[in-house]
Amino acid sequence: MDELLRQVLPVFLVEVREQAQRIAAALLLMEREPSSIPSEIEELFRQAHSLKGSSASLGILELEALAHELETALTGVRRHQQPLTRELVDLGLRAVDAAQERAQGLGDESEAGLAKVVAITAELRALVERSPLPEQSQRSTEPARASRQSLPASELSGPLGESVAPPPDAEAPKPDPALLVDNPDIIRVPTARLLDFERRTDDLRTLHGRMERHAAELHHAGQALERLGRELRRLWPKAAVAAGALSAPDELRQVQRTLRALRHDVIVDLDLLLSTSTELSESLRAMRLVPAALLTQPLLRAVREACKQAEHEADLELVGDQVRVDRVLLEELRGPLLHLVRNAVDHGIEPSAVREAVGKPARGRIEVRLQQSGGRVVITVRDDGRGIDVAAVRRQAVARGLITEAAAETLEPREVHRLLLLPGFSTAAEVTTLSGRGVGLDVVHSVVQRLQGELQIESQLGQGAAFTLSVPMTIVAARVMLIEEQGGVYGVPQTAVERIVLASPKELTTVGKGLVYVADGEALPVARLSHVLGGRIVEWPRQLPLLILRHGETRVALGCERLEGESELVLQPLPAELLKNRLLSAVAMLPSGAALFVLSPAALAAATVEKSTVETRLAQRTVLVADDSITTRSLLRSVLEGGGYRVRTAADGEEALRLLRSESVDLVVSDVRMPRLDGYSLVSKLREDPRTARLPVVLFSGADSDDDRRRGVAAGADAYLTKGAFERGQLIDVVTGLLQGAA
Amino acid sequence: MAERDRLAILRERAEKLATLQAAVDDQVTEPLVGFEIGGHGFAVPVRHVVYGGRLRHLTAIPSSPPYLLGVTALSGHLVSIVDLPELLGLRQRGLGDVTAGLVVAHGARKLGLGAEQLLGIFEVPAARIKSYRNAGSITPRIVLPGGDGGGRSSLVIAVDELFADPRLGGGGGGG
Repeated sequence: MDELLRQVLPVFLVEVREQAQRIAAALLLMEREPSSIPSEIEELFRQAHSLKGSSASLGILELEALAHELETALTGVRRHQQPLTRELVDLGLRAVDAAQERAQGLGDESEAGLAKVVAITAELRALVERSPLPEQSQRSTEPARASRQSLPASELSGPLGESVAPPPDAEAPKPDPALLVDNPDIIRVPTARLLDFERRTDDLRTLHGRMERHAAELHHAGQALERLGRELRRLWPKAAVAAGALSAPDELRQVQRTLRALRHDVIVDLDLLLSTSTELSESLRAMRLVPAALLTQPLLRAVREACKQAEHEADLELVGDQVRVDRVLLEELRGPLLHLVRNAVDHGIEPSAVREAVGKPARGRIEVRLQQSGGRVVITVRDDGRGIDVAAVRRQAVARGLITEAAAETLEPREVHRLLLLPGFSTAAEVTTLSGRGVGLDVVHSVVQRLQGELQIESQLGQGAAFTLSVPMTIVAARVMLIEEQGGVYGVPQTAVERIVLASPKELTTVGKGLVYVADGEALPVARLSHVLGGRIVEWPRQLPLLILRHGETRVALGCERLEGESELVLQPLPAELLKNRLLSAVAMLPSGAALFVLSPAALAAATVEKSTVETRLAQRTVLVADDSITTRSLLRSVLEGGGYRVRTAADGEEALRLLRSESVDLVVSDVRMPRLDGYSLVSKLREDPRTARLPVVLFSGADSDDDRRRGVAAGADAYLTKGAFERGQLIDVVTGLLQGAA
Repeated sequence: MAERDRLAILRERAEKLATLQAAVDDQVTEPLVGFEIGGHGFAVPVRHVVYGGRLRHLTAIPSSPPYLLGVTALSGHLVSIVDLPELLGLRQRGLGDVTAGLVVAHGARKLGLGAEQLLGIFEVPAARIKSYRNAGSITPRIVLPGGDGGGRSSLVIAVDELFADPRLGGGGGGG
């Protein structure tokens, strides 16, 4: 492939895709509404001309020939001399599919799609020859004009080596200006690159966070200088001051002024940085919003193909196609919506004869309605077919061993509908290429859940069914509630939070083996977030924030230690290695540079129901771990929680002291070398305070000399363990032994 | 020429050729980055490394297996940090601070390897690594400079196998 073609190819691929979609849309509309033919056929020819011209200019002769034959085949329709037959529409749709496939093959520098393009070009030619227009009965042997102006006559032939003549009234196709000439009005950017750009703007926010800290440090430095200045002025010889010489105190004052001015400038720049990066983010996000009308053509085609295969008749209507949706979200929803409309044709719409016998119109009706509701897009796929046979679903569920017969009888119809979402569930008597494998609805459901959405099913037997998907408008940014639990901060999508209450343990009641909180007359399962995340059961404090979460029809109450407020965050998808973790739905980068995990409402709801047990209230012994290393804190936490202890953590001795003043702790495990207050000093302070004089303390150090051990014991530690010889069992034995001794 | 003499000449020729080949093989080296964690030494080919240094922010992953230490940000992307001894089922020796790491890339994916200490880049004869691999071991061992005895036995990590490990989101065949 020559270098020019390689450079231009990405743009060409995009244009072929757009042209193919427009041609397909025109064909489908003309087939549905013959009155649209006069206007749509012109649009089709414009697109086909463009495709022919740009293919010719790039020397992609097979696509040029395909576009040419498509024009030829539709000329009769254009001139109102021939009807638009189903065969012609089918062939036209296959032609544009083949064009896209070939363009993709060119992008991969392979032969993919070439044979298909050649074959369909031949089919189009054969179709024309079977029903020629009067002036097409003899093919001209004159070489085609215009599109081949740049090629020598000997090369003017189609892909099969035959000379090809353009339709007599075809205009000279012009090379697409966007392809060959810089179009100053348009720049095409892949969605992936926009996404990448947006992530990079997050780096700006991280930078902002760091610079804020630098500004704070400047402020502290200024204050320290001021103190130093006061001291210096006090000590500076008065004679020197009287002599008027520029003194050290004066110079210091100048430095202070400079620092203050510098700090002020930094703050001004910070504000500008923040507002610029915010505007940039919002502009990038807005670029990604596209009208839902982009779904029209693929849905129409899906219904058309499904009707052909199932031998049913149905029309599709898309309502609310002007709703704007995140491009990424639209692509995610494409698959589920295609499946739902195919399902509607195969399972919902009855054969025409059956419909007429029950007084329905012969042609079924499928409506796809989009609307915006708050921060969500709500899409309903509704058909007027036979509806869901609840009795058949119950029977199938029992036959598959999913539920007992007795349980099946107690299920409400909406609960029976939910059985359809189970993997492999199908009531279809036979498997068709369309559906019946029971694969589709559970995949639809899992995609919707992954998008933090919900899927509702309604149906009336004999009247039809409706599937409603409700998803956040954008999966890129979301408002999340920030909650803290056991030293970690997590996000919960705000759309899942109904409200927040402050509850005490007395307000929690036991129903059977489950712990519940009564809200609005409904008993909601309750669990602590730490337990839901797989940690140990922890004691409930006197007042605890409870998040009342809703997911679909499930409501639960999730307890956490603290609420950190609400924030709008730009979300990133999880990397591959974290996708299996069902509790996580996305991740965001905070201005500090730390990551914040956004939890999945569906998984939280399910886990809360599972973990809401009476044991949640049982008390445990508490161990405080003080270490400036996050990995050490995490490791010791997991070891101690595994040993049945509740764990609190602190990043240094100061934080440990602060925590000990407000919470009850049974034992301390502390590192020795820590900033602000080291382990020896921490132990000394604890021994000086009557409240903590007897608190067992284990020093845990990297230093292993006899002197270090002696120093630890002298400070008041009850045990001294070394990191180099760390053994999990040893730590638990020491902690347990000390606690038993202290009891 | 007596058969015995002919065999002797052929043997001598074969030995010379083998020595020559070994000399050629030893001249082809592969640069590896060495690092330590949990009392174990590891090395990865430099060509896979996109970052090596201090880990700024390591955020713990809720409900995650012990071989995932946490996540950190690199150029706006999230990278998971792996505890190799934990992943490979090696007994951890001692407890250190995982404050550094190497980020390796395979295609569009990146993974971080937690480290207590980065040892540097070493040129190792490629044939020596291949010989261990050919012996059937997935994780060949080589000796890098360092350690108490003047050399540290290190596991050379096959990065493509690491990314293929299903526990790390791969399709399989790794681990």
